[in-house]
Amino acid sequence: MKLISLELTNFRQFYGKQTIDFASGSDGRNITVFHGFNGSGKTALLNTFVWCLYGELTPDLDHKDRLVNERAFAEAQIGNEVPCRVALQFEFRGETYVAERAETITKTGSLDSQKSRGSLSLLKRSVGGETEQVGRDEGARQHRIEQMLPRSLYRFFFFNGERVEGLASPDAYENIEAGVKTLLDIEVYERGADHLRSGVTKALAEEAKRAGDDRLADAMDQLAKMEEEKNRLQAENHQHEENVSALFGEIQSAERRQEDLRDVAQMATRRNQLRDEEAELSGQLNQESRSLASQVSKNGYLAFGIRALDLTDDQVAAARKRGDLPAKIKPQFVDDLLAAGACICGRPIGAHTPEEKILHKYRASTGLAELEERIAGVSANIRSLRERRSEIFEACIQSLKKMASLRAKLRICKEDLSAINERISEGNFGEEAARIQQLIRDRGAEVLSNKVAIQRNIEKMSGLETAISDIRDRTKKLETLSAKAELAKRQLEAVQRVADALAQIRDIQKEDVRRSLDEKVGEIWREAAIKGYDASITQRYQLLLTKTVGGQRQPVMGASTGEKQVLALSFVGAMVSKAKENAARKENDLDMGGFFPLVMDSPFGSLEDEYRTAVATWLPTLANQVVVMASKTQWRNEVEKAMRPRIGREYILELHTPKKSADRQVTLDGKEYPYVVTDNGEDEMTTIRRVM
Amino acid sequence: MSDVKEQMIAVLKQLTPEERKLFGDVLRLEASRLNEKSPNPKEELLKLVRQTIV
Repeated sequence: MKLISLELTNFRQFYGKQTIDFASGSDGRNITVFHGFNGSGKTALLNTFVWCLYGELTPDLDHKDRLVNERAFAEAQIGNEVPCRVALQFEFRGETYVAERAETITKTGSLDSQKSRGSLSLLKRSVGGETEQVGRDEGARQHRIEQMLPRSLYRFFFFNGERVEGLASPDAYENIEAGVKTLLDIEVYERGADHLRSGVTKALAEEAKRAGDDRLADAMDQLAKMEEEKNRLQAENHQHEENVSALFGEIQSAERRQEDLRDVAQMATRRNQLRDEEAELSGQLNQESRSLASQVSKNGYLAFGIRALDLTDDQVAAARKRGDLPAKIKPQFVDDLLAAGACICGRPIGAHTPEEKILHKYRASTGLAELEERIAGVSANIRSLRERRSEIFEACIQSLKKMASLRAKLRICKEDLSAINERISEGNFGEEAARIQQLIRDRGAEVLSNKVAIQRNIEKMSGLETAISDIRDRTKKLETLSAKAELAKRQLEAVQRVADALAQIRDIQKEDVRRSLDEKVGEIWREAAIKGYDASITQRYQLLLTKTVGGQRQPVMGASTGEKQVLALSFVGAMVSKAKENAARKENDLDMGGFFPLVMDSPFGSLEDEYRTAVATWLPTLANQVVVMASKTQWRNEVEKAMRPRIGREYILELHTPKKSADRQVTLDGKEYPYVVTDNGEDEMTTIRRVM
Repeated sequence: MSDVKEQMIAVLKQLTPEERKLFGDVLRLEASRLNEKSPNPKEELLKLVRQTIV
């Protein structure tokens, strides 16, 4: 989705009709920036996108029921209509669209009004300039928009930077997976597999029945029913997983509430410390246990090899006692005499002579000398193996002692944690604390019951998969009664195999997208982060900050707001960058991925300088288009320096106020512009002034 | 990426030429109906199956 222009009519602070063109990015300048004083309409401007595309408003917008501009309303005669309208022109996969949402307000009194139902129009413009309405009704138009940019994902593309950390909370991720699937084109495989497995399989079963083959029809019918049941269980598990996510979110927020209660704060802090300690101890215990396992697997044979070592020692001692060792003559000496054909005294030794026979006899007995050489080596090894055996025994004993001590500490830690929870729930710290503790306990029990249900469904699905595979095998072996039934059977087999291939490719793509997002988030985070945490994306598309404790990754408890904001922005950057990559590689001649803009109100609000510079530098390189709304203080040196070279369009939200002597100027790129202007009108309003 | 492509090719190689054709046709049909909220392209899919597996 490439933004082209935005037309506002009487929307919030924006009086009359005003138009904005966005930087296209074609010349490497992909940033459109709006500078505005507090109250000039930066958040309202962010909301024009959200309202136009989804009919919603962001939670931080005040007085949501009053969208029409106050000055336009005040100027209207009673009985007249005041239009409030936002039209967004954009390009998606080579087509140009204009989405327009409008509502009309009829003035019924000096302060009273009647609102008409809002309307949504979506026009597609052809290359020739003709336009056509998309979809039969508003529902279809809305769906078309959500296919381009899913509703569940808009929070990642149109957001308030000061509140962006909410995106990193577990409950923000409901439907994210589904949204990512749409955005990154995985849905098409899923739909194909589902449609083939349900509707088409059923229809083929009907055909088999019509062909008079009841056994085949029966098998197909069972197959379709089992696939439907499997899909139902999958959907049910998805719901359970969402429940678990939401319940964890509730538990976390309840615990934060406890931290705010004066009497409990100390214990809540202690609880967090104990949890960190518990994670640390568990990590150390796991590491120790892994190291012991590796020690045993590498050197365990030494524990059982002592008998072989003793036997070898005994045999060597016996050979020495018999006088077989050391050997009397070296084999090489005899070989040299035989090769030279002469004795050491110089007398020749001819072939087949008695002297040569004696030499050959000596040669045969020198095998013991080779044995002796080897025994010398083995004896040295046996000594070192005996030493190693004792060392390893000692190391294992130490490791077991350490594990026992860690287990004891862990037990104490768990007991302390349990005691804290008990004490809070006893009510000695006030009803509120006990009530919250009860809620935490209840939610914990619900998490457990959801997890049990998930496991049960997994087992049921596994049983169904076996049954489905059996039916498919049986169907293959079925002798069909007619040519028609035979054809239906072959078609069913093909449908099942193609559906399986679609599902497999969906899984491959899904994992590729997740892994790729995970890598990108990690990469972007590492560039910006100050602390040694790692950022990742879980199988459930949840953003996670982890730290390495005792060689194991553990979630970070209590990350700061700034850290969460950078984490959320990393995910946003990773997603637009991945969609961009998908657009560059077209598979199966299908349009994949795409270009997505980032529209951010106050993106640098509460970030530290290092984070501000990092975010201002990498966001415009990841997204094709970036729209930023910022106040003078938010647009500070480091941000201006990083973004200035990439600005393609620059606007001032010039605030007009009836307040006397409120005039203010803003300096941009060395030039001064009006920022706040004293006006004769009765109501405040904003004019969008283009400066670049 | 090449790993993903290889995995996808390995899946497609398990199909017969007719099934591969059906796979491509199903994908194109589903892509053309992605804009619909709850498409039910059963008849079109059946037509594709009948045309391809004969």
